[in-house]
Amino acid sequence: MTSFFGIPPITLAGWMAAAVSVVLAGLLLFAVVNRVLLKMALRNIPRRRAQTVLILFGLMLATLIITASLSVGDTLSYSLQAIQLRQIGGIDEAFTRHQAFGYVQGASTADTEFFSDAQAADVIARSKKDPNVAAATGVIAASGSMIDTTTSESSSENVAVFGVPADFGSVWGTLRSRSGGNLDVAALGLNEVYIGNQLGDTLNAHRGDTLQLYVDGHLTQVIVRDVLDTEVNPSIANHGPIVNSVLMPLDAMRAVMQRPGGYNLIFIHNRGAGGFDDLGPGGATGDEVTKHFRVEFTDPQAAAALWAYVSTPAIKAQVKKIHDQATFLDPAKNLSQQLLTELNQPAVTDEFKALAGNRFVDRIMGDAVATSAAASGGPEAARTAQDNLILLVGVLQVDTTAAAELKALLSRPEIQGPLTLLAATLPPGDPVGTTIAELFAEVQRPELTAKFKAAVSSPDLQAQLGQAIAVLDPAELAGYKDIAGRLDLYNYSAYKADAVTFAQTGGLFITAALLGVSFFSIAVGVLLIFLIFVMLAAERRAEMGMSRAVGLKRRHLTQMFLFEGTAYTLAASVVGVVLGVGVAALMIRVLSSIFSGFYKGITLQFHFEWTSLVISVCLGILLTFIVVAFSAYRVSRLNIVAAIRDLDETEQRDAGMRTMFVAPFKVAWAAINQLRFGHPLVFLNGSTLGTLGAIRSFWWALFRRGPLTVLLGAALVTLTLGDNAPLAHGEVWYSAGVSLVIIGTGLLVRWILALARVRALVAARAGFTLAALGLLLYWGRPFGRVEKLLHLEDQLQTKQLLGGPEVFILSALMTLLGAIWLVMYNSDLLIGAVMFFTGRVSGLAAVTRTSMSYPMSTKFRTGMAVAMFAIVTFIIVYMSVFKDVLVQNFAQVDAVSGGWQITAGTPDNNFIQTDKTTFPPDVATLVQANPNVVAELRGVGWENQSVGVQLQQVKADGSVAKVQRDSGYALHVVDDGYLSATGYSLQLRAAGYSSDRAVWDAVRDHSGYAVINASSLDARTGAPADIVGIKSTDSTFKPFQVRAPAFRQSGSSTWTLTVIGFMRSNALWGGVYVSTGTAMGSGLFASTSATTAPAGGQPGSSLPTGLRPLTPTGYYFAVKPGVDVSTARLDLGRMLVKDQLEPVIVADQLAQQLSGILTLLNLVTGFLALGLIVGIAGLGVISTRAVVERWQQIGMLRALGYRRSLVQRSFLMESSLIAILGLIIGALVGVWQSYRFFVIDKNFGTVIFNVPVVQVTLILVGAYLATLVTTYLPARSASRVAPAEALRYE
Amino acid sequence: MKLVDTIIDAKGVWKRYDAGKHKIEALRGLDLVVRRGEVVAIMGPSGCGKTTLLNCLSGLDVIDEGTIKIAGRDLKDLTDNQRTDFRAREMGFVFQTYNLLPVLTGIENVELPMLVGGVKPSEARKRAQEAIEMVGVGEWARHRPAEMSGGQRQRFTIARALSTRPAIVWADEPTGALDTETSAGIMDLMVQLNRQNAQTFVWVTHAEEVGALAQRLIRMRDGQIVSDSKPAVTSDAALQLDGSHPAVDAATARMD
Repeated sequence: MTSFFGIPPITLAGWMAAAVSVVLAGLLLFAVVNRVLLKMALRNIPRRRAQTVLILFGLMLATLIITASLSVGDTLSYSLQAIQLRQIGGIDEAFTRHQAFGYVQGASTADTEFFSDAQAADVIARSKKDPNVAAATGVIAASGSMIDTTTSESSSENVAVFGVPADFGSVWGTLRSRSGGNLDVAALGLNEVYIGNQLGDTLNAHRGDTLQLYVDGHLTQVIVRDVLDTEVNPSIANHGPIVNSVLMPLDAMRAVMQRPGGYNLIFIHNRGAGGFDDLGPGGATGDEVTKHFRVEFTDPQAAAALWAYVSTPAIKAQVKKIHDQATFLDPAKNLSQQLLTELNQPAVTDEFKALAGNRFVDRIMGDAVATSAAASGGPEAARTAQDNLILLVGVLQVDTTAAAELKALLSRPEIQGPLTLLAATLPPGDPVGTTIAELFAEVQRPELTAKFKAAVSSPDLQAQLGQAIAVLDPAELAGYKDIAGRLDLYNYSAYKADAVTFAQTGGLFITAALLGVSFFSIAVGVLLIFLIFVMLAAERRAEMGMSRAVGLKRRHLTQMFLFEGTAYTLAASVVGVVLGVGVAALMIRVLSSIFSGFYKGITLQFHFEWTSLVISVCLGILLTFIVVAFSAYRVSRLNIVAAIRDLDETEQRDAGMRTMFVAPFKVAWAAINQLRFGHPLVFLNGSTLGTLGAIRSFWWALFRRGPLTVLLGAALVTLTLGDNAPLAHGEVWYSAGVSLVIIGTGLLVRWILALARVRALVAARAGFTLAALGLLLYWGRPFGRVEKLLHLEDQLQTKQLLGGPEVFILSALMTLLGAIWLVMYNSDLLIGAVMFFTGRVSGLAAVTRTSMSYPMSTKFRTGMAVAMFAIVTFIIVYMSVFKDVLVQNFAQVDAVSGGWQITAGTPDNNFIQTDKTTFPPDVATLVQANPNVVAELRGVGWENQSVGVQLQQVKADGSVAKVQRDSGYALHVVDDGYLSATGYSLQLRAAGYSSDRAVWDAVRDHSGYAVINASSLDARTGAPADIVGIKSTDSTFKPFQVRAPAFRQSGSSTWTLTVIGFMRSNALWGGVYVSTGTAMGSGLFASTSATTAPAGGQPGSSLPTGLRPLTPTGYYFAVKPGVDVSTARLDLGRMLVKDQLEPVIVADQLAQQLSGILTLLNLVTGFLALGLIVGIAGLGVISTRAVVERWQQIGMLRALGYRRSLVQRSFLMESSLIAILGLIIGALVGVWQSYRFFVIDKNFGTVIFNVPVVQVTLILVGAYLATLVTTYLPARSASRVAPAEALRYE
Repeated sequence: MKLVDTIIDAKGVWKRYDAGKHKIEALRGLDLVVRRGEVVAIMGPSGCGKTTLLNCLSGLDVIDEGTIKIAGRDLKDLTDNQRTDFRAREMGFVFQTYNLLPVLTGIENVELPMLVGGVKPSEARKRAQEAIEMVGVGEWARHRPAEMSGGQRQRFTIARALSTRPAIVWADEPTGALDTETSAGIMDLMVQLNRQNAQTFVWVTHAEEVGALAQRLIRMRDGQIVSDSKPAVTSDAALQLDGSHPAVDAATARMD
């Protein structure tokens, strides 16, 4: 565990241990002072052994759950770190020419991305000046693909080929063979390579195998000299956990790539023994190096300009808001805090420069700038502000001096004149002309603008300027090259530190997820602890009454319970930790299979940190202690006479409002009187603690009666609304406030009715029923958000509130509370209803009456027991529905993939496009030319998915709806082959189309027709849907028009499409589908003839014209019935390997994704079932207690004619009532909340909602049967009560 | 005395309890015969075995030696269930601490034995209402015991005991928790009910004034009966003890 809410675990463990020590020391002190109390408390423990075991079980559960969650997190971060550290070796940092994500290891093979030998030498020399740096060396990294000609297996597309120098070991450390022994790059022959172990497995390759290897599109033949014991995979954080790797000698790589000099990556190795050691204690060395390099390679003027731009009060306020609202898992939490500190400095600092190079910080600044601009100037201002920021961040690595020199050079008439003239002669709108005009507009400004710096930092422009100067003013060419060489300050990445953060975030994520869902189980554990102590107290009521009668004070009773509780707690925490580690080990076995499914080769090594164990034990102890202290306090408030005589304890009534209002004055006056009698100490006590106590009682009474509760709720609501809300996570505070108002109103009604002399039971029933219905209505939202119903939504600005998982938790708990409250206070209706049926069956009526009346007469206790069942059932049912919806909607491969079984390129989620990935323009011809493949396929198609669009509905009057906030769809421009063969079924078809096929044919044949996603019919985040006026259940609709501007790009907004169909929301590749013909008219794509991708450029990237080339980015293949999909994939793989495209089987990918999620959900459900066990055990405790409590009444029942079996049945029915109520309430709330999540709130769009009735029933019946088993023994012992024996003790 | 007139016939009854190493002989070869319709009071010092005798006679407890016949049926011959059913049908109980179920209302407490006996809920409710009216606490029917006074609670207990129209009503210290005035009211009620229904009442009591209201006063000491006599003052001289009471005949017929 790295940090918890930003606190290092060792500090947290220390604080927790200190807190526990303080508590224990305090108790010890009390024990020494009152040894007899300690004795009395401890002697209670062995009195009822079975009960003690149950108590220990209940108490240890919270510790167990916390330990298991933390240990699983520890294991995950440890394992991910171990794997990553192995793959990253001794490489701690790296330099590339420019920032380039998505390339292999962050390095592109475009000419402009290569360091010249001189530049590389400069970077290496400057790096080595840092005393923490031990070695630095240049390498070439490129993407590759291959076929092992010995085994005929092909690689996956994510292969990194490294050309490494002979001294590669100085940065990496010692390379090792999988079969043992050290390896040396210097020993490699020119046609020999080392390959990583994963790649070795994929290819089934061994020493001596021949590889047909494509490096950056160049073919070569090499021999596998050895298989490494790891992958060589620096830069894990940005490029996924596994990248297959090949190491070849640098010279061989240069020869293959026909590149005699230069490097595209420079690796740095810090001083240290490798692994964590390189980063120093707590990562300090790594941080120092990072700061040094970021400062060294950041332009000071640019940094100052950026700092000045963002250090305004409005932006700083937004950064603070981001910090407040970030979860502790989000790296933004800490970074925003650091950023804020630097923005509050009087001038730009080195720390700011170091931060400004971090992409998370860039994102924070972007969000803060956009939000603050939007608040004052609307969306347009936000966009402009964000563009300015991007510009300022973009020039951080542009050297100001060099840029100034370049500006001077370009101002020379010899250069400026002809180029400006050229621009003028070009037709208006010509991109070259525009670029020149824009550049020289900046040149003519007196100051050196960021826009100018940004323009000249473009490698493309630099190359073109070089060509122009060579023609216009050859004498200046050398000078220009010198300036251009100094312009870029290089891009720095902290590979290892990033990789470690990635691993730790992964560990923290799983810990948070487990702790989040197990919150419900912990809550049940807490309820059980509370219940146990309330019952212990009930059992010892007479004893406690006697103790009070002979002079023990209330606090002595509290202390006694605390001693006893702490003894249980200490024992239970130790047991809990041990079992927790065991449970975690079991979970790791399950998780390991999930991870190896996701990432081949990852095995989790079970591991836990001692700090985690300390935190678990301390948390367990503190949690239990708090609950025990609360329950001890509560039970100490007994009526002595009622306790001794075991009479009914009438409801604790306070002295009345008037008396309590006067009480503080009276107490103060009495204290003053004591002063008169010469008792200063008594005066001091009375005037401070006494008066405060009286005031507290008065306020508490007001709280219990409702007015203060309502006020508190209203205050919370007011605090969370408005722009300057001081509370983070507004939604949860707001809703908690509303809930308090609802509960307070119920209490108030009860009080008013009581004042009007209505019977207490009736008043309570009226008040609590009202509150319960209010909570159900507010949280269950059967008619939508209540504020909306009351037309208060705009006034209250509830849409502005942000909520996280805590809202879900609160929502569940409040709905459950409402439901349980409602049932508890209207139990007579329930009893009447049940009696209506059982009354007809002879003998059952009496049992029903007693078994239902008992639990309903102790509403608090029963309510808690019902809550224990309901909470766990709720979350288990919720999970079951969740799983079912996932399976129903996303597991039916053919339905969600439109019948395409194999894909290559962009439809594959794992596909990483590199600058050397070539996309064959006419795949159909390729297929036709390959007899193997053509025999296997029934359909083939390609798509261009390089742009996103927004949708604006064109209304009947011709006006256009405004773009909604979250509107954005992938634009699939698909060829005729795709449209002819796609099997996607549609959710809605336009009128006039008899089949889905007819719709797809029309999209193919009519320019301007489109099929769009049905999710466009769903409202998102409270905003209206993109498409309105059509219901997702309509059988047909009238074709309508939409405007489809490109997402986040200005211009081209005149593109209009006619929608003739809606795809189902569960489509794997949803979005907007148009034909290539339609796309041509969009103004987004260049005509096919002009779309030959420029050398070095990648398809989909912007052409100089600003238009995109309409070339394929992905391919779809439909296999003929009866053909083995794996065989077809292998044949396609051989066909596409030279293009560095690897086909994947859709079903495999889907199964992998889904099975991972489903296994995770199963695991979590299993974890939650622990809570159900607690509930069941809790009911066992209650039943056992009930038998003892009602010993005499059982005797009476037996005297009245209850047979033994009838007594037993009565007890079983009583437990059944609690269990069934809990199970039913939990299940209903679970189903309702998931219905709301999926159907009303449409969090996954329009989905097929289904309740897995059989599964849910099995869970409910199973839990119920388990309950019967645990309550059987107490029920049996009740039936064995000898009537005379029981009645003797009356 | 005709056999049919004998409702309780106990002979040579021994009852022992284990109390650690010692055995306590609570009843020592005790003989007792009670006639149908009699009101019998059992008195004696604490620990003399009064309550044990009542428990054994009512079948709540089993004896170690001897025989107990109730209405001619030997309790030893009955299984636990048969004994329970027999109790439900033929006996009613009134206890010192009322033993009303606190979670049920007055009327629900009264109808409970009838429901156990398989009487239809509607019929049980009707009869319970009648019984409550008879003991004079009709307006408290829907209140819980906690809301009632001791006297009211004891009236409900009596109503419950009589609701199944039992042949015998056992009362263990029926006035033990009541003040003098209330006690007198309760005892008057029981005597009156005995007169109306000819039910047999067996009272265990410490109170001489209660014993004085019975037709027979049995005194016990150390597990044995030391005297069996008529009390000095009989509450109701009109009570006929010759077995010709019409209600006794009806009850006898029903038991047969």
